[in-house]
Amino acid sequence: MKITIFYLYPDLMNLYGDIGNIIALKKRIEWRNIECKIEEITLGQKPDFTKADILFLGGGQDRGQKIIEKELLSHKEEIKTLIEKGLPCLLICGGYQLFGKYFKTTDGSTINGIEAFDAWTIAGGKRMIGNIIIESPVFGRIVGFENHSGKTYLGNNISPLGKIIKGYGNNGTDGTEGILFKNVIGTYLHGPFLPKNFQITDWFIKQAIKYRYGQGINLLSLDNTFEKMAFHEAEKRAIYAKSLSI
Amino acid sequence: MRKFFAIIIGKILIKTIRFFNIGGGSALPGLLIEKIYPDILSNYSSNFFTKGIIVITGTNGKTTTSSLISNILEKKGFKVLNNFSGSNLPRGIISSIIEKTEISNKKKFDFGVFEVDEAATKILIPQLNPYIIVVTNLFRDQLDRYGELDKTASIIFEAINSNKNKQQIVILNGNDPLIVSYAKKINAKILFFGIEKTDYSVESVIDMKYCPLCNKELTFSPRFYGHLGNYSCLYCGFKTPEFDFCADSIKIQDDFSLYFKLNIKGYSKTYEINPLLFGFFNIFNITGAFSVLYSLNIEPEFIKTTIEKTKFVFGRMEKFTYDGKDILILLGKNPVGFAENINVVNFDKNQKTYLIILNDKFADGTDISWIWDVPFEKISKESLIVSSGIRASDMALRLKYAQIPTKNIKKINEIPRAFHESLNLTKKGKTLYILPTYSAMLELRKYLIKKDIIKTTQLYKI
Repeated sequence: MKITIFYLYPDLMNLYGDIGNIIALKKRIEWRNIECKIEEITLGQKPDFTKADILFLGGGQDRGQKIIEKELLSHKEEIKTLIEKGLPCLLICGGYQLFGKYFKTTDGSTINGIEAFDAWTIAGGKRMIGNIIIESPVFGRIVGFENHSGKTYLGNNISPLGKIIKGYGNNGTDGTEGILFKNVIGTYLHGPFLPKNFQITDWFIKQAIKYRYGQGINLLSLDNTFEKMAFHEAEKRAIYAKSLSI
Repeated sequence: MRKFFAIIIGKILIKTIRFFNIGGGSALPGLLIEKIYPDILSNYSSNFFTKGIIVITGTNGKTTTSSLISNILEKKGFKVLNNFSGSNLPRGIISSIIEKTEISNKKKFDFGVFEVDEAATKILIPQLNPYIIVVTNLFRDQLDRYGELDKTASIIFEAINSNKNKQQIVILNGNDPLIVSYAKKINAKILFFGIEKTDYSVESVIDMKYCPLCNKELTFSPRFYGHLGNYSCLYCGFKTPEFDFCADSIKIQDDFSLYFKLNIKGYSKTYEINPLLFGFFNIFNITGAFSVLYSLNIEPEFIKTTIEKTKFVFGRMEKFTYDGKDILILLGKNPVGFAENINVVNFDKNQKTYLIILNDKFADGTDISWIWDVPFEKISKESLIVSSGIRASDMALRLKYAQIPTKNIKKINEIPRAFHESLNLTKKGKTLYILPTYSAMLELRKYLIKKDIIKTTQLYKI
């Protein structure tokens, strides 16, 4: 058995340790004695997205997002079709914004997204920064660190990943954070997102196997003592530390 | 009159705070005076320093570069005021000035040498109007404070353009493409320093792979530290500038000691430098400091010999012996800094003991995600590691995913206990490597001084 992860534009879209998500996926796949292949997709390549079992796009600076806009749009239809078929995708921050409809940046220009789901982003003046806790109906409690000025708004028929317990989330006003659509998770959570929220890492692995091999399996259980310890420390920190915004 | 009050109040506050030992006495008085007398800095900058102010900003190397400069100027007989005891925010600089000033406001110092926080340049440069500004490098550091790297760069260079000092000299790290891309936008004399050639490179995440001018991929030959290197853009012609001060023929020995040659443009003589400071990054710090001092007409021979006597700067590769064991503290504030420290430690081929301390206070950066950008995978698997600090569990988790067996990782949040435990794990005659973040380093040093384990509270030694 093998799982192939397409890591999109790692040299442009990797902020705040987002690579930790790739490390977490790879290790937890390998610890189950499953082969894991990381395919780094860079600009100018002609990737065959049907080969991907998981798609990952991290956060980037506005500059990075502008550079990959055109390239990503050229794969729009292919990626959207695969998402409808159940391709698991993890999209963090800038990556999340680019899979929505559009992102209006601070200088007034618009970066077009691939419209994989009904959400759009508008740059805000104030950066939303700090430890964050959300509660998800599917995954339970999730911890992370957010740092964004973009405000994302969700369409009527799209569900958020969870509701805010502590922090700002999608836009700082409606109490939601991220999206969960088919097997796609879009979120503002760095931290990085997966290592401490290991149940979501395992969910991705299971969805990837179901997507590729047509049936689910029970994953070998692992010792999660360190993961839980870090989760609780982050949760405690989110509750006691002040969020700062500049 | 307001000024008179401000100074008196400030002085009383500093003394009181020190007397009752309720803090360093640096932030609060400055903060208060800023409120009472907001023009204090611009007033002082023009009257107080007869030969001018030097500002050092950038992500890494601020403290080391400014201490080298300050120190060598003092050895040369100048009166220098610096902000080592204060913070690098406006309040810290105000406090440093107030503490040393007399109410009569007679001219007192030749030079002010201030390290300035990147974001604070916006406020401080137009007030201090420095004669020389150094930008050391721009890495992803404490991004939670500044947002993104591009934004930090534009803040700094807008600040430089707001400097009212017509004589201003701007000294830039020519190996940093982001910094160099802003050079054309500055109306001032610019000097570049950097490294010409080296085989040495730090494997680390690169912040900037694309040309800052045209967004096409940059070619590096080679890239030696994060995105610092010799670069060229095959599309628009952007490339490493010609250096005014450059280091080459670099050698790093097994005991970390450095050797390199320093060349000055238009000057046939080369200076061989054998510094006591070690670690690759100090080549940048030394070359940067050299550029400033040379521009101030200090004789190169004097700069060289004084640099070669400078031992260490406050927790940055600080070495001491205790309980028959060598202890080396390597401060790391961001991914590249940490990556470099791991490389330094790997010069030691024995089984190693580490104490890694991760705090997430404001001074460290409250977001600790960056530890996943550090190649902890390069730490050998049989190492014994004590993980400490406020976010000890996050660090322990990172190490687990770097394939360090969990039985070799001990989590102890409290720093003193973690120090003694890691010391116990270190065999006699071997070295304990301590890798702390900024506030963790301060906390550890405070404890070590209290317990008389290290004697000195000095910032640097000559």
